[in-house]
Amino acid sequence: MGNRDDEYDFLFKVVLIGDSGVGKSNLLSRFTRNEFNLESKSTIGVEFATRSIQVDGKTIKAQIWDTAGQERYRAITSAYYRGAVGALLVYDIAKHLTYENVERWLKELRDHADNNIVIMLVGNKSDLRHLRAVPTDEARAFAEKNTLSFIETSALDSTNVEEAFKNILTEIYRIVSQKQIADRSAHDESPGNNVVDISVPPTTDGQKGNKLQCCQSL
Amino acid sequence: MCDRATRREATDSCASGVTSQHPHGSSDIPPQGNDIGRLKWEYAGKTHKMTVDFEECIKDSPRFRAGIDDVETDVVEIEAKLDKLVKLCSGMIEAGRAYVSANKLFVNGIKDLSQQCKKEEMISECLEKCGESLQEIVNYHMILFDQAQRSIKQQLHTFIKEDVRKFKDTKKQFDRVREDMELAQVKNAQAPRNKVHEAEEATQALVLSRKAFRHLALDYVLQINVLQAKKKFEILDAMLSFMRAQYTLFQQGFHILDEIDPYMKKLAAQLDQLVIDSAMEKRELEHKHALIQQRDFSYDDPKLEFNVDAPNGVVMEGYLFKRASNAFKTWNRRWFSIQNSQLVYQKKLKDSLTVVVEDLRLCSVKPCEDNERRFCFEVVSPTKSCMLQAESEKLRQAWIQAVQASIASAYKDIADNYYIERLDRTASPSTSSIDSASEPRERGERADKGVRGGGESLLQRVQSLPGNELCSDCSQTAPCWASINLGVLLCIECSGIHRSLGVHFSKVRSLTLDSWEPELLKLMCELGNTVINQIYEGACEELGVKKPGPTSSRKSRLWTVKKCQRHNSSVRAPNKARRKYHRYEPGSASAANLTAAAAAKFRRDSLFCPDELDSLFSYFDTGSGPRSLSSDSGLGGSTDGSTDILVFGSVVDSVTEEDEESEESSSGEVEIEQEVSSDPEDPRELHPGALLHRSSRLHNLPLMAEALAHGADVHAASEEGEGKTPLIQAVIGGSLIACEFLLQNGADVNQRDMRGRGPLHHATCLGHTGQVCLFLKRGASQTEVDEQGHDPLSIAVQAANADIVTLLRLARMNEEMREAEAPLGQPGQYHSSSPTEQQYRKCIQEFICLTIDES
Repeated sequence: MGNRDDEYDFLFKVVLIGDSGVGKSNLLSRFTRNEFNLESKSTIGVEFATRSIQVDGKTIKAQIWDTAGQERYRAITSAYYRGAVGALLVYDIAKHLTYENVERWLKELRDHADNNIVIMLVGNKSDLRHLRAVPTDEARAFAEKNTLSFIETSALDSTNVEEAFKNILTEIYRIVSQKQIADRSAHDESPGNNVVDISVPPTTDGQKGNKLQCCQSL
Repeated sequence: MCDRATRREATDSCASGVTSQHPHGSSDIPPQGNDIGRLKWEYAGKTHKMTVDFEECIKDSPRFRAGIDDVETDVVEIEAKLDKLVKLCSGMIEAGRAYVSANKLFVNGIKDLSQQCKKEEMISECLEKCGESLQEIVNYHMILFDQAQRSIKQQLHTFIKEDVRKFKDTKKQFDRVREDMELAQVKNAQAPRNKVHEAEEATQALVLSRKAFRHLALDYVLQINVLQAKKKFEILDAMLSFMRAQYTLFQQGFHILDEIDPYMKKLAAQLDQLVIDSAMEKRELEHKHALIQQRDFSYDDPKLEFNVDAPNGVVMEGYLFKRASNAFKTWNRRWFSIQNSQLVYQKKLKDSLTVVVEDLRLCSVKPCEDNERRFCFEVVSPTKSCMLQAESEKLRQAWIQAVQASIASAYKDIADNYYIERLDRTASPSTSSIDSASEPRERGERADKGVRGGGESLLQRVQSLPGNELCSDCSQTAPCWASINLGVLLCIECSGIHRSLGVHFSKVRSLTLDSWEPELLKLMCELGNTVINQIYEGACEELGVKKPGPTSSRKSRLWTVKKCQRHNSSVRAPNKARRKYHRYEPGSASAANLTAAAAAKFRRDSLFCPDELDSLFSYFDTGSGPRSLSSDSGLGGSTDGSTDILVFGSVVDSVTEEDEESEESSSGEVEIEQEVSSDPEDPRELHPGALLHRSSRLHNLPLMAEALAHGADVHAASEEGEGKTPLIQAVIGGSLIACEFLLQNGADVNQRDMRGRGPLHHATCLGHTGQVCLFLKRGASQTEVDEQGHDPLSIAVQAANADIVTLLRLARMNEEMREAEAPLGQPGQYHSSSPTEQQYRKCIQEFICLTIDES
């Protein structure tokens, strides 16, 4: 532990949500461990996994939370959404009901998550072409209407899984780094203030400070 | 076809220019002709006058023919007009029905509205009444159109279709026969003179055809006359019944409206009043609006905005923007308030309060200028900082001042205690008068605190436990320090002595300056000075140690505490007791049954200071079997004769000093003694180690404290219980507080039983979520596997306990993050600042609180 692999510039918490059986856990295992299990059981409790990717020469560590949502206490529900900066809202393209329930999940996000959370609508199981129940165009139009990103994936044949996670992480990174710039310029305008701003952009020296700041992304 | 034929005939006759008696308006024309016709006609229609004369008919004069033509023309025109009228009538009925159904919908709309307005009685009453009336009127309209349908449309239609057609048929026949006759006449005329037979034949034919014609002509004339008459009364009848229907409509409508007229008048009056009232209300509201505008101007005046001594405990409240701690740093507008020395906020009224700063004394506040937003200020507490934004510079100043004032007042709350204790420490012992002088103030302050909610009240409960009003060691009033592993309250000086003995003896915390986890407060609630002193002081008194007072010197206090402690911990169970320890084991099967009995017994026993009694008995009977444990300890202490005498004396003293309940002691003594001897399962008889095991399982903190006082080893594994530790017993017993108590007294959170299962395994197995949280909080390792190779997580997964699975995984991830982080930053840095860590802690603490609340 503590070797170079663990270093990162940003740490983003991303949650997986959607009806049970849409393939959230397999998306997670495909992305973090390149594994897929056709016979996987329902997830018990919350599962966590991490993986780092590179964006603009920065290391972004994704801490991904996945749940089947059968926890008894609100303590866990609120912890699930608390601090999340991204959400993959997954449905099954072969089961229309899972797509219809997307609205409910959006409401859940509105109730519990940060207003600025980046949401990506993910139509999983795109390999089931002959069973398709949700037209791509319909889902894309819905995503556009609700200003969500949209992608169709297949955890089974790996289609677009990397892209889905990379796209959402990149989007989060853009937003966060823009905010940092805004913060920095505000800081520059008042150089007389002696409060140390921990969001100074990374120089080799400032890396530590920067890192601390991104821990706050959780 | 026939229509056209008649018309042609009519035009023909017109063209012929023959004028005749006018058939139209025939009622005005005086009847003509002979009696037969009149008679016949009178028979047919009595008052009706003949249109075409029968005489003329028989003659078949041109006058007759013209008359017939006129009549025919008239019939055709009448038919056309009637036809048109019927069509118009149908149109009217159709439109009327549409109107009626539209009206019905409208009425339904009114009814709907009245349903909606049920709360406003006036409106709903009005709508209901009007709706009903309108409904009735609609129904009348319906009847009107039905009537029109029957009277005009059907009646006239029948007239046209039947009577007029019959007439036309007859006419056709008439025309044919006349033609025949004319033909016969021509033939007759043409018959040659010389051919008699032929002439005769023609004459015969003429006579026949003329006869037929005459009959038919008479018939025809009759038809004409009948038709003309019928036309009259059909039309009149239709018109009359339609007018009747109209009359009924309006009359009934009038009745209906007349009925509700009084109501309408009343309503009109009320309406007027309402208009006046609402105008007045509006003016009042406008006035208020002006007031608010006025206030808005003064809104920037911060001096009025906060009040440290507000009766409801809310120093200041209002909207602030809060910067989220996540990567987005989203600004959210929240309703903030300062209350109970805490800074809290909420989103909606139904949401619970979110605490930003748990204890304002531990935080600082400062304006923050290096932000892209204006009017920001930062509240910094040891664990986090929170960026807030006010609406204006003045409001920012107000908030900052309010926070600062609250910090100051929070300190002031405890400052008096602090001051007294400091004074006490520095001043000579004789200045105790200051204490009594400060007492009322103290009480007042406590009453103030009573208003506050949450943890504060639990703290209050601790302070109000029996004996907790005085220092456990020296009886100094209002102790503000606590020993959390002993469960007693201390004055500041005694707390110093406790501290000097080391944490293995006593863990000291300030009631006011330290933060208190709910599980610790709950632990304190289950013990208290009286309970603990009954356990410890008995032994001290056996030793002849006099309890020090508030004025005793530090040296004497120290000596006392040490002596007591040494005495208690040096107690070792003799063989006899060890035997009983074994005996205890099989009895543990029925532990559940014993819970209530043991607890009740202890409570009663404790009234009599059992240790003191024990020592008393031991003095007379050193060989007393059943009471071996305590008497042994008594023996152990009474090594020197002089103390023995003192022990005797002190016992007497303590009994008389005991509160009022001591009166019962004389009668209760025997009873207890009997109970004790007759019940071999009395936990008090057990070896301290066994007692600790059992009391841990039974969640009996006073008994646990007693066992510990008698030197029970908190790590001792029970040989017959698969090597279970007291902590594991407490897990099985299900009590979070018992676990906390053992942990505070040095229990090892990772000590495993013979099957390789530690407390975390057991708590997971049993699904005790709160305990799992407690152990995780205390750093329990979750990588250990039991003899079957299961770690806690796999046990939880197997049991499909989603909450425990989540908590264990969360702890694992947190640990990994922490390890990954450690070499880079300073070791301690991650702990306080990492959001993962904070989330993890919050989650754990929430579960502990849930468990405590439930128990």
